[in-house]
Amino acid sequence: MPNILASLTSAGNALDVFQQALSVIQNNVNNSSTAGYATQNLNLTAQPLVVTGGLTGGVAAQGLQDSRDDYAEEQVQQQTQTLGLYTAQAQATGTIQSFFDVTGTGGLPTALNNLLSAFSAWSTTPSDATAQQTVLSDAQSLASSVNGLANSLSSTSQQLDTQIGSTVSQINSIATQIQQYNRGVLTDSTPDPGAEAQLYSALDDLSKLTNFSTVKQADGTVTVSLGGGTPLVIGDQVNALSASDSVDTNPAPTYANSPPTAHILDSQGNDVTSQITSGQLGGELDSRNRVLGGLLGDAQQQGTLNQFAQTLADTVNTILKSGTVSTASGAASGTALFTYDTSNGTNVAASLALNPAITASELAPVDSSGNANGNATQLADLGTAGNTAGNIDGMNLVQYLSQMSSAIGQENQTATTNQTTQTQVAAQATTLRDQVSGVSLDTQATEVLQFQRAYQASAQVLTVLNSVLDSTIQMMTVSQ
Amino acid sequence: MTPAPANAHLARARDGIREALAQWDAADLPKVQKSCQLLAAAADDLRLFESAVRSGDIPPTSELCATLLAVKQEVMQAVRIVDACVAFHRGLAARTGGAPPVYNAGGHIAEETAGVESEVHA
Repeated sequence: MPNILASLTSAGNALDVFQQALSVIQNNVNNSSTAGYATQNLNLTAQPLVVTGGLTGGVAAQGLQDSRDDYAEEQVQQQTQTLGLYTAQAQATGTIQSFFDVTGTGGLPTALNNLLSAFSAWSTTPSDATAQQTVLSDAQSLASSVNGLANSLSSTSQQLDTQIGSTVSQINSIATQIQQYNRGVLTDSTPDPGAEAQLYSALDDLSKLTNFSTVKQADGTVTVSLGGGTPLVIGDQVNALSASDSVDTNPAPTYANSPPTAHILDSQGNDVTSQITSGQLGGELDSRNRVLGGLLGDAQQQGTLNQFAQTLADTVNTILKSGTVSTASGAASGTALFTYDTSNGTNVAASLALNPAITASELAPVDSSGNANGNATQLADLGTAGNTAGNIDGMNLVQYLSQMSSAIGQENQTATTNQTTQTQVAAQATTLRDQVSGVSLDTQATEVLQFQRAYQASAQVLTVLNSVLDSTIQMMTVSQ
Repeated sequence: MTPAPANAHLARARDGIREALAQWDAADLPKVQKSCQLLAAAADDLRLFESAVRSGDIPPTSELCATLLAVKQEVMQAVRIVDACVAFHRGLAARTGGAPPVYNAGGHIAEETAGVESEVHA
């Protein structure tokens, strides 16, 4: 009789276990589209069967196991971080590029060409009042155009600052969600698929914003660290980030009054900017500090736009001041055409202006040798190829401006191309994650090897393609 | 070789690379293998084009150079996508405790090269 009862009990337990297994399957179906959810399996184990000892065998549940593969999750997060970087770079450089008119029908390049044309016309009729007035009005237009570009770039800097602040807030918010998960784990260590799903969904969201790494601790909590190792979440503590603007003081600034650069600080006030190299925040910081810093200047550099503005003003002013307004004996010396803030090298473009003291008759076309249009001709030639006056890095003003535009165009093109490719790579990482999650790699070893060989074969063919292309391009370039 | 068919090799190579990228599905072995075959055919076409350039059958022009640079950009895109798969599986192998792969001078896993080559040229 006791054996019959034991058998009934065992059968009842088995039914209960299979009911649990059905519940797990139902839960998997219900959560098939829940962000961060990984399929759960109920581990079943056979119970010992010893008839003479009264052990009736049967089956028992040994807890839940999810199909998540941490390596694959990490790969997806890394690719998502890179995608966030390129997306932010493409967006910011696209905005910056829009301020540079590459069509040649407007903007700064046209304003410069107009002034050079005005100098040329003036050189043929140096004493003509209309030609003189055109020089002044085109100089005014050019100064306004430079100011406009500087202001647009400064506004973009401020917009990026706002975006950086917003991204940092999102990061802190996600860090708080992870902190809540850790608190839950510390309170109750029973696996909770729902909480796990939320954690991984939060990590997916975080990977769009910044680069980080995670470590699962023995107590079940997850430690999240920024790229350089600074903890963002450790146990039930959050190291909240903040954004701030300041002029770098280490090394000592060359331009103390330069536009500030964006910095990310941890809760102790430590500067962790250099640790953020990827994700949306990485892209925003790169565009804000490197790209815009290169144009508008920072503590260590004047900025290409300021260099252009100062070289233009200094060159034109030096030429004009070296001559006289006419060939008559005792004629007045020339007057500077432009003014700018001489106290701050990184404020030249924003402060460039037509000299308010100059009048048309004070323009000096006569050079120091007495040539009636020597100065005007020199000024008209500033944009001529091979002219060394007003050169920056071996380029004349027109070339330098063109190079500035093409550099930002190149930045945008690279970021956009990277974004397109990385979108595919990130989607592929998700596909690969889904492929290996829940699969025993040991039992699937043959298939894994087949994939590995097929990838390797493709990589090898691409190496060949690349090499043939390189040699053909080289032959084409050399022969032209 | 006349310039027209030689240029056709370049056009066919470019189409092949694009088709390989369109076919590529990292989780579908037959599609990966098909992409590989398309890339191999594109490499053959490109070799023929290179020979035509080397022999002087195709005069260098800035248009051709621009096309080649555009093709190179597409190849670089494919390289990044395929490299990501290779890296993913290398990581998997390392994680499952398999013997670390031995690489040859070309950057490929040495013991697989023979198999790979026969696959490519099959």
